[in-house]
Order: sequence, then C-alpha cells, then structure tokens
Amino acid sequence: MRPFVENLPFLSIFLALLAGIVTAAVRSGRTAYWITTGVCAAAAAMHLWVLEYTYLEGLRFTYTMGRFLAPYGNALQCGPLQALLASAFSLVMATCLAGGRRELFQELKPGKQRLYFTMVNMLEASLLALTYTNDVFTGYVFIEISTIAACSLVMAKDSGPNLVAAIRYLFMSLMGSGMFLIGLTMLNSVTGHLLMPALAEAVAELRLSGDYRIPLTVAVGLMVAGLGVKSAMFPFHLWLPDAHGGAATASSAILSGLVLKGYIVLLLVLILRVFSVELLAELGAANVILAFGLLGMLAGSVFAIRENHIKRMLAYSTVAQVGYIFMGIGLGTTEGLIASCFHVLVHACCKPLLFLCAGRLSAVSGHHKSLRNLRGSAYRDVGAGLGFTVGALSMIGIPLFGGFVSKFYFANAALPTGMTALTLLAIALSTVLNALYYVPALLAIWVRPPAEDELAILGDTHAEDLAPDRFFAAASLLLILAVFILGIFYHPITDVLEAGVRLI
Amino acid sequence: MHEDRRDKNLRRRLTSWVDGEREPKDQTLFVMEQRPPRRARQTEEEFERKDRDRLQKFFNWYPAAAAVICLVMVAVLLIAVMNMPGFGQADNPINNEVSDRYLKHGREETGSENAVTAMIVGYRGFDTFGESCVMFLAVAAVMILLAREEHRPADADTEEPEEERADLILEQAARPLIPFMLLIAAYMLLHSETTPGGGFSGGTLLGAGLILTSAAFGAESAQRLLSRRQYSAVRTFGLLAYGLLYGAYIFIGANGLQNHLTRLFLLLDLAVGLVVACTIYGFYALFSRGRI
Amino acid sequence: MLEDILQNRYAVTAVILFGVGFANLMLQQNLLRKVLGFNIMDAAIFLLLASLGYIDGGVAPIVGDRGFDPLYINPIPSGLALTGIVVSVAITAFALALIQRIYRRYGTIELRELLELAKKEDD
Repeated sequence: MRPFVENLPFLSIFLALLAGIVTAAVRSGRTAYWITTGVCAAAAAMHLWVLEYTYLEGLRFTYTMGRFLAPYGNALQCGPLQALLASAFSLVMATCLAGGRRELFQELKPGKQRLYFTMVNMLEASLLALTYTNDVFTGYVFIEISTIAACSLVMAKDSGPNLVAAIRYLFMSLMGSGMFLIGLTMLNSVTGHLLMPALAEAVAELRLSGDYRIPLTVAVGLMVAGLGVKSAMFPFHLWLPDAHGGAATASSAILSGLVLKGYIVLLLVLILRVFSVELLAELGAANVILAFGLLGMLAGSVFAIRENHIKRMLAYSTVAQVGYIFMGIGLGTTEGLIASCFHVLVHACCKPLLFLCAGRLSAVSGHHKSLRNLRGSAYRDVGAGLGFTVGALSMIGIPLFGGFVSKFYFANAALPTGMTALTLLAIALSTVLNALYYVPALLAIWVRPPAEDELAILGDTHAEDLAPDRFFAAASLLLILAVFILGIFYHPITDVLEAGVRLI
Repeated sequence: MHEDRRDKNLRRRLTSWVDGEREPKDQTLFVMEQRPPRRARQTEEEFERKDRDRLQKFFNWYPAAAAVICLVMVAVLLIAVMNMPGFGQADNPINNEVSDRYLKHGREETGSENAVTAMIVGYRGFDTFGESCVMFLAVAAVMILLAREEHRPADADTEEPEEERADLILEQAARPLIPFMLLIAAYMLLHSETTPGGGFSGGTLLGAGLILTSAAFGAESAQRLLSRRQYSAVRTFGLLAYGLLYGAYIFIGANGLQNHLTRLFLLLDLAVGLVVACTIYGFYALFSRGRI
Repeated sequence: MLEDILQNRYAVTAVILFGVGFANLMLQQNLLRKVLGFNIMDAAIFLLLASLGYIDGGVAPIVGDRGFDPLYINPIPSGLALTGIVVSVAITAFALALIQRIYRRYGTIELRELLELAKKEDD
C-alpha cells in the first residue's frame, strides 16, 4: 500500500476526464462551468500537496497504471518538477475560466456551453497527462485529445473567421502529430520500448554502441520537430495569430498560456529523461533548436510590432516567447532547461493575464479590438488597465516582474556555452523589440482620446459590459500576484525546479 | 505661437504613434530635400490591397517551400528506414522481453487469448481509455459544429433537409440483415476478450446496425430504437462506466490491494463497445441530419 | 542499396506514402484533399507499424490451446496501430464536420479563397 498522496496525479487526471464526460450530459451551462472550475481548482490543490510531498521528501515516484510494472504497462512519473508545473497549469486554467466568464456566457450559444466545458475539462486532463506521463505513446494519445479540444475552443465562438482559423490550426497540428507518431514508431523499432525509463536505457546503449545511428537521429529529429510544430516554433507559427487572436477571451488565454505549454513540457521531459541533453548536443539537434528559437524571438516581435489588433499582437508575442523557451532548450545545458521551465511558468501566468485584461478592455470599448479604438480604455476599468500594464512590463523584462527573472536566467545559462554572444545579443534585441510594441499599447490604453472619439466608443458599449466584473477582478489580481511572486520571491521556485530536474 | 504649434504637432505624432500608425521619422533634416507630404492614414482600400498583396506573396512562396520541405523529409526518412532493423527478423530490437511477456503471460494476467487485445485493454489500458475519450470528444466537437438548436428548427444557414423515403431494395435488404448484424454484434461484444480488437469491432458492428436502420427506415424508426435522450444516456454511461471501472482497477493495481473485480475486462470491453457504437452512429446522425 | 530497399520494402513503401500524404496535407488548397492527405499519412504510419511487428513465419498472436508453441508475431505494433486508427477516424470526422460547416458558411472549401473571405469579414 503506497501513501495516499501518490494516487493524486492519477486521480486528478481521471477526475478531469470524468468531469469532461459529465459536463457533456448536464443541462445547464452554469452547472458545467462550476464543475469545470471546481475540478481545476481541486486539481491545483492536489498537485500542491504532491509538490509538498515530493519536494520535502526529496523523492520521485512511478505510479503504475494497473498491476503491471514498467516496462510492461502504462505508468505515470511524478517528481517536484511535474507537480509544480501541473499545479500552476491547473490554477491558471481555473483563473482563465473565472476571468473570461462573462464573455463566455455572452458569446457561446446556450445549447453548446456545456460542450465547451467538456473541451476545457479534456484539455485540463491532457495537460496533466502530458506533464505526468511516463509513456511516450500515452503522450501521443493525449496530444490528440489536446488537438481536438484546442481546435474546438477556437471554433466555439461561432464566426466564420474562427472556423477558418480552426481548420488551419487543425491541419498544422495534424502535421505535427503525424511527425511525432512516425518518429515514435522509428524510435520504437530501434529500441523496442515505449516507456521512458526503458527507452532511456536503450537510447543510452545505442548512443554508446553507435548502432542504428541514422534512424535514431531521424526519430529524435521528427519527435522534436513534431512537438515544435504543435507548440508554434518559429517557422510553423502561421496558424497561431488567427487561432489565438480570434477566439473568445478565455479560450485565447487557455490556448496561449497553457495548451502550447503541454507540448513543450512533454518535449522537456523527453529531453531530460529519454534523449539526454548530451545526445541532443551530439546529434546537432540542439543547435537547430537554438537557431529556430532565436529566429522566433526576433520574428515574433517584428510581426507583433506591425499588428494593430490587440489580441493578434499578443498572439505574435506568444511566438516570440515560445522562441525564448526553445532557445533555452537549444542551449544544450541543464541550466538552459531550468531557465526554460521557469519561463514556461512565467509565460503561463503573464499571457493569460494579458489576454484576460485585453478582453476586458475591449469589452468596455464596445468589443473593438484595434489599438486605436482602445484609447483611454484603462480608465473605464482600472483593474484591467493595471493588469495589462503589469503583464506588459513583465513581458518587456522590467526588474521585479517575472519576465525579468527568466531573462536573467536565460542570460546566465548562456554564459558557459559557446553561443554566449549570439544569445545575449538576441535577448537584448528582443527586449528592445518587445518594448517597441508593448509601450505603444500601454500608452494607447492610458492616454485619453479626444472627447468626441470617446463618446463614439462609449456609444458602442453596452451597460452590462461597463459594470464591474468581480470574477475578472479576482482572476487578474491572482495572476498579478503570481507575476510579482515569480519576479521577487523566485528563489523557492527555482529551487524546486532545480530539485525537480535533478530528480526527474 | 510657434511653441504651441510644435506642441500640437508633437501631440499629433504621439497619438498617431500610439494608434499604431507609426510614421517613419521625418528625415528631411538629414537628406536636405523636401519629401512629398505623406498622408497620415492609409485609406481602407490601400490597406486592403496591401494585405492582399501580402497574402498573394505568401501563396507564391509557400508551395515552393513546402515542396522542398516534403522532398527533404522523404529523402531523410528513406535513408533512415534503410538503416532500420530488417523486415521480419526475429532478433530485431522490437522483439524483446515486453512482447514476450504479453505473449506468454497475457492470457493468465488479463484473461484474453488474443495478445493484442490483452495489450490494449490490460497492459496499456490507459492509452485505450484515452482513445475512447478521443472518440467521445470528437462526437462532442461534431455536435458543436453540426447539431441544430433544439428549439429553433429553422436556422439561418442550416436548412432542414427533406426526409426522403429510402428505396425499396435498400429497405428489403435491410430487413433481414439488421437482426443478424445486431446478433453478431452482441456475440462479438460478449466474446470481446478473445476476438481481435476487443470491444471495438463489436461496437462498430452495433453502430453499423443502427446506421442501416436509420438509412433504410428513416430517422423516426432509428429514434424509436434509440431516442436522443437514450443516446445521450448510453454514451455518457458507457464512457463513465469504463472510466470508473478502469479507475478502480488502476487504483487497486497500483496500491497492491486485493482484486475483487472478476471478469473486469469483459465489462470494460462492453463499455468500449457501447462508446464505439454511439460514436459512429452519432457521426452518421449528425452529418446526415444534424441531430441524433 | 537495392538490397536495403528490398529488405525493408514495406518500410520504404510506408515512408514514400508518408511523403505523399504529407505533401498533400501541406500543398493542397482544397480542404477535403488535405484531409485525404492526412489519411494517407496516417495509413502510411500504420503500414510501418504493421511491418515492424511481423516476424518471418509468425502467426497471429492468438494464444490458444494448440498443444504446441508456434512463433507469434509481435503484438505491440498491432495494438498501437489499432489505437492510432481509432484516433485518426475521430479526427477525420472532426475535420470533415468543420469543412461542412465552413462550406455552408462560405460556399467554398478552397483555402486561398477562404482566407480572403475571412479576412474581409474580420473587423
């Protein structure tokens, strides 16, 4: 009999899946909403407990799904890193739902609200499963769950451009998962395993003996590329702005802040546990990832500068931030991976905050989304304005905000590698570029427009949108706090990350 | 006076910068020649045209780049595949202790004679549960897309297709066929432990029987067999039962408790069968008439 | 070279099919053809999986009371292919539903036209 707390990762995944099934059958959208938010919050609490258990005891454990030990049956693997990421994801998921609540119920058809929450529950389950899985094929199955659910979130807001964005997203995702699956097949054929510990052993053996060198390289490349496509690595980002920019606020926040992270976390875990950082460097994959990451950091920001639509601007900024994460992976050191993990956390808090606040600001401006029409909107909802400011400053990388710390860690991680100058230059340049679009956005929301323009905008706005939104206020307060905690009291968190990477 | 104008100019430039129409800096100071005055705002048409140009440009380079990527990909894959373990050799890395155990002990450990079924329901059952969730999710997604609003039959972009009578041949052929289909489906579901594919094939046949009923005798008779409410109940119940039973199985197995669940895999397969049948019938109904 | 190809003939076929499907998925402008491309791609992967599990002279892995112990083929790739097929069916249905919806809305399924139409409707 194992300690009860070790059951929690499995229980939380099942709870989310079962909640997904139940919400499809309940009649009212509100019930479904409360079930979903409750499950996410409960999952967050469970994972915090798991985190306390694994971190304080300094252990990790494997949870067999059934009676059969690895390498025979499915299993979950849990350590501090997974627990921390899972609790953060669940918490942010609940917060996104709270913050976007009003718009969700306005925009979704009453008959389809419950199905929307089914998708959210399944997304939560797949995020948790991708974080905890010890089995690569389970990873594939949950990648597909995540694909369907994410595309459904995009198209749930029933408008033409969203449908087109959803199908583009779907095809791009299918390409990514196809590449992942064929890579997985090849890896299986040269190693004969699917569970990560056994795979790691087999891969290490192949690395020493030099057998099947080419299939191994290609398999690793395909799996990395597949996950890269799905997480909008730079040249494969074309679908992202439309999908994330057009969806409902809560969907955009979830998609940008969390869904991409699920794939990235799976990639991080694969690298840490199966391929090993050394093998990646030896095969030359690290440098390729680094190059794509650096390009993404710059190109994403350049695209964002050209954008006037606030949500599309934020979506392009996501491309840049994903570039940072891949840069950390591409540095080919453990420090780089830790910095990437930290940035995953920072971005998972910052981007939902920005999207929620942008959604709120646009709601108080008659649902206009271009920066020109958002002039002075921060005065109409000061909470949203402050939240947007905090998020934007963190994205630029001002000290005391979360984004600064992650940039600092990236820079630190780049020092011992051979790519120091290039990486530091790219970070500096990208910071300037970030400022070039976030500062005008900030000015836009805080500078009052001429009186007649403001009156015109107010004429478009509904009274119920102008009323204060308590759920949104609570959600944005929580995320602002998270950004400050990540920016000021980051030591405990990086300690957990380091312990997690060591124990993984 | 002069000060005031500069101030206004500055303010205008600031506002236009803030609005996202960033004008390049006035460079007449350096170039020493007067540039033609630029309109501050692009007209809508101009903007649209530019946008279309961008799209056009994108479509021009995209096929070339994509073709190159595809060719490179095939070449790389071919090289990789030629260096893979040979076809059909017994000493390939994939034939290791894992498959050995599935073949040797699969029967006693899961009660299934078919090693593939033993694997998908027993050893790697979590994947299979995930897969059932994918099916459930796909039906839910198709419902979001195609299901008509219940209280508003006349939707703007979804006109009601006319209920047409099926032709005689189909009807006469379906009449003797359907009972057999349902019978075989029931047989396959009850013997799903040994038949290939477990509950999947039985469930597919069950769903096919429902589809044939619906196609040959019209939606009403299919709805008499399985109304919307029943459908929803069966679908939810199937997956929920699967999830709860399998969750209990995992919990017991992982904690090393005494296992009191006998014939569990039969129940799991039955549940899978229900989910599969509901899935494919749901697809048919939603695609053909927009409601279950 | 030729020997390599012959030895891994199924895998080579699968990889070429994968390329065909992949190219269709990326290059086609017609959404339905893209879905077909996706299906070809997935079928190629299942062919690869099936060929991986085969052992010369092996029989289907149904362990009965034959009285002797024959050589069975490897059950793992078959199981994976089974899971993969179901996932691919579900996704195909989803994609087709999305396409049907798009067609009802815009009257076309050419991606190029759709992008222009959608751009016009946006804002």
